[in-house]
Amino acid sequence: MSDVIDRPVLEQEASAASRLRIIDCDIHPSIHAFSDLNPFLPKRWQEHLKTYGSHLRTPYIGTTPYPRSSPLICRRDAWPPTGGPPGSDLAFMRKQHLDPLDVEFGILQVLDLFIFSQQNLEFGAAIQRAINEWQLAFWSHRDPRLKASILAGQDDTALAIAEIERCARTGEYVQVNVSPRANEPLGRRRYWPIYERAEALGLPLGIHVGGYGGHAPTGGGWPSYYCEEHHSNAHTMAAQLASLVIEGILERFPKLKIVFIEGGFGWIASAIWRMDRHFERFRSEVPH
Amino acid sequence: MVATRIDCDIHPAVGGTRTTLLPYLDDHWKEQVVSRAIDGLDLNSYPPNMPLAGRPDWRPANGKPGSDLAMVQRGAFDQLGASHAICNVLYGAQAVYDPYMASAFCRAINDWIAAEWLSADQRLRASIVVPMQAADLAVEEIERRAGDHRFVSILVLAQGETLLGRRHYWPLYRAAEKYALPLAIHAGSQYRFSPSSIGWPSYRYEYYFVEAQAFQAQILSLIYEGVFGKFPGLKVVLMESGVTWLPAFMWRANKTWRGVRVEVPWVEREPASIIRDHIRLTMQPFDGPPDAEGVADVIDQIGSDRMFLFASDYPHWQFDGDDAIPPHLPQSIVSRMCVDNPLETFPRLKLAA
Repeated sequence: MSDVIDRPVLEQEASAASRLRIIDCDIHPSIHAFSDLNPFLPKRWQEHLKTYGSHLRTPYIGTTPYPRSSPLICRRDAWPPTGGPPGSDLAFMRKQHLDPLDVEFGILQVLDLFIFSQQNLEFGAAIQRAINEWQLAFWSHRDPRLKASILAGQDDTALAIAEIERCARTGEYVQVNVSPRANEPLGRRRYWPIYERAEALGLPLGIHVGGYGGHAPTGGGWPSYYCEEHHSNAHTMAAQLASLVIEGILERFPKLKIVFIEGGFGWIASAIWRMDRHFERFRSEVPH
Repeated sequence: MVATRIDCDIHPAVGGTRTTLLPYLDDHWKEQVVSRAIDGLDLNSYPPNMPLAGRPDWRPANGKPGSDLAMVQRGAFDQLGASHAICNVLYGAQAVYDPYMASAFCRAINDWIAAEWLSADQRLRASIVVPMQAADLAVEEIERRAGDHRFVSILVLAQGETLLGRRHYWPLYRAAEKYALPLAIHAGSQYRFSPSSIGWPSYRYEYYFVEAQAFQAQILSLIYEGVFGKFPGLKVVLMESGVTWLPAFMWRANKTWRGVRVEVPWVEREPASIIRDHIRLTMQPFDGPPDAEGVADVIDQIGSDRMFLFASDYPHWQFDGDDAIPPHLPQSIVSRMCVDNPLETFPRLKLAA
């Protein structure tokens, strides 16, 4: 018997009575260049982007604080042969990922510091709106498998809610994405109107790792190495979970679904045990 | 006296800077403290009246939980059955901004604990409280106490000004290794940073929950800065950190190291292996699952029976009743954690006081 898995095995799957369906909840499309956003960005903000550029809470203009171990944190075989960064070419994404895995739906999570971490909140909101429109024009409308997420930076709640409502009216977005690291923990009162809207609109709240909100990645200060700092992505998720639970978000907005994306999973059990174990001791602090 | 159960974490309380510590300050600081009314330095991490800070039956009629020696002796020794106990003083001296004030106050704390606690009861030992604000002054304090074998470890807070692996702290670890003093990292914060990357939490419940992450960050810092390579004799004790987050943390650390180790070529073996050799944890709070099988799984996943240290965290309210041992622990762990592991982790316990 041959050791090689031959083509016929795959053909059998195609005619099987049932098959495994895949919905990929985390796909990262990318722009080629900032100019891709020009059709969706008012002239004023095009100029701003070209001149003042991003104003983040990090030391560098051109790169993340902790250099990654591969360019753009991407698998090295994901650079499209026709050019552009990984995730920027729909044809290549189909060929390398969507088609071979028979992905039924792919949910778009657009990453990049310049979207969520802008200190100029008005500029940030303009970028988010442009990206939200770009998701439809460049992706969802060209491949109906790909579903867009509404990027709504939470530190200006009014602008965020306006954008959520604008996008929700199209019926084409499947979740609301907020930043994992903003001015304050997600459970804080100032953000509640966003959850109220998302719940009312029946949209889940997506939180994807990344970003630099201006707080040190750890309670003891700044790590020296990416190897060290990378762990804080999981910590961010656990800390946000605690904030959402302890501030009572799950009770205040009982129909709201919350999705932690790329945050790791192994930490969940001990986080629940720890939260449960200390509940009685702190119960009088949180009567809600 | 033969050790039968060593409680690695109890908390005598400083009544006040102008009261408890005043006799142990030099003339300059005596005057500063009195004329400027410098006091109220209870660590924000532990407001004395908050339930966690003191179990009701461990609160004296007057004064903070842990401030009455006789009450502490009755609790830790008579009630909870320890034969020996290590005093870890948590006080704002560790958090002040002025490095000279920090040095003077830490020195006063160590003088006070030696004079009024260690000398009053031969079963007591203590951690050296050090001013991390200035590494050279911290080393001086370690040198000052090195000859007193009743000091068995060095105490630092889990959340300080810079992560513990950083180079400027290496002289401390040189001294620690030289004098066989483990580094005891205890829950508590200097409040220089929010306790996590997401910002400042509303509630102390949240703060306490997320503090476990600070310990993890400290482990990663110590590993990745190469501290254990440079100081192979150094042991680190996590105190009041929670325990059950350890397996998933080890797995993720291993996985990340495999992918990104190009950045830290001096870390030559997987983090979990380094953790098993160098890191120890006190067992209160344990933060366990409710069932025996779950507890057994966690212990099995940690993969070492030498890491666990008996502790009550007296007078902090982590459990009810007289049994400080977390429920459902395998018997093999219980036997090791009460004597063998503490003696191995704190070598100076074996020395004559």
